[in-house]
Amino acid sequence: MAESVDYASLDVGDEAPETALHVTVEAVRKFLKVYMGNEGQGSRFTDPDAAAAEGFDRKPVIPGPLGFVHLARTIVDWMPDARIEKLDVVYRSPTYLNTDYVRRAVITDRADREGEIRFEMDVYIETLDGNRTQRGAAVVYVPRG
Amino acid sequence: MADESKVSPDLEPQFDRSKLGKVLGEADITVTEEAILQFAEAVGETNPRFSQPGPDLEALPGMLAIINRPQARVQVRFPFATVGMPAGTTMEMFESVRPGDVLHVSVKLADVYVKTGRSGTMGFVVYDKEFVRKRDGKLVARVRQSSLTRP
Repeated sequence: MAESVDYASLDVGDEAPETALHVTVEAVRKFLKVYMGNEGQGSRFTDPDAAAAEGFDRKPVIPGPLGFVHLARTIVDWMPDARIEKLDVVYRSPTYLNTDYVRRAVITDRADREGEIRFEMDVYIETLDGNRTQRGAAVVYVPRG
Repeated sequence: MADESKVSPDLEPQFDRSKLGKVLGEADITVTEEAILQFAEAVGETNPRFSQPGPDLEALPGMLAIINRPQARVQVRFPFATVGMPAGTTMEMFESVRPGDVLHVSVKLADVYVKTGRSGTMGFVVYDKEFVRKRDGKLVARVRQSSLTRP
C-alpha cells in the first residue's frame, strides 16, 4: 500500500505502481466462504477437472467477482484515501489460479474541484505478456491538498 | 434494453417476460464489523481504513458487489447454452458502508438478450441491485451484474 501520495501531482497518463497478483486456491476458498458460504469444493474455482469440464484449461479459474475486488484494491492501494464512485469491469477471459498476473491502473482524465480531485482511470489484470483478462473503468475522488 | 428484433427464433431466450424490470426480491442486511474485517482478510486487504477495527472502519469498495442476497433469480433458458459465467460487474457507490449500517437490498431483472459476434452466440442476463440505508433512506450503491452463457 502506498504510504503517502501527492494526489495533486498526478495527471492523465500516470500509472499506478505495478502490483503482482497471484491467487492461490487457499485465497479462493477464503473468498468463496465469504461470497457463497462454501469453499467451492468440486467447482471450476478449486478443481482442475471441473474447470476442464467447463471448457477452461486444466486449471481452476478465479471467480470474476474476486477479480473485481482486486481491481477495486488496485485503486485504493494506489490512492489510499480514494472514494470510488464507479467501477465498471468486464471479465474478458479466464484468470487462472496459481498464475502470475499484474494489476495496473492508468489515469485517463482529471478534473479539479473544490476540495477534491476527480480522476477517471482504466484498471486491468494482465498476464505477464500483456494480455488483459479483466479490464475496467473507474471514477474516483481524492482529497485535494 | 437490448434490441432482440434480429435474433433468430431458434436462439430466443425462454423466460417469464413479465419479470423484466420488476423487483424480484428484497432483503435487509446488517453490516457488521466482523463481516467487514472478514472480507478484507479474505481478499488480503491491509489498508487500515478497511481492515482495522474502530470508529473509522469502512467496507472495502467491492464488498457490496459480492453480496448475493436476496437470491432472487428468474429461470432463463437459452437453447444453445451449456456453460455459464459472470460477464461483468458495474458498481456505483454513493455512500461509505460502515459497521451497524442496515441496508435494504432489492433485485431487479434488468435485461435478457442474445448477441452473436466473433466468439459465437452468447446469451446475457443482467440483474440490478440497489442498496438503500434504512436509517436515512439514502441510496448507498447500485450494482449491475451480467452473466453470459455460451454453447
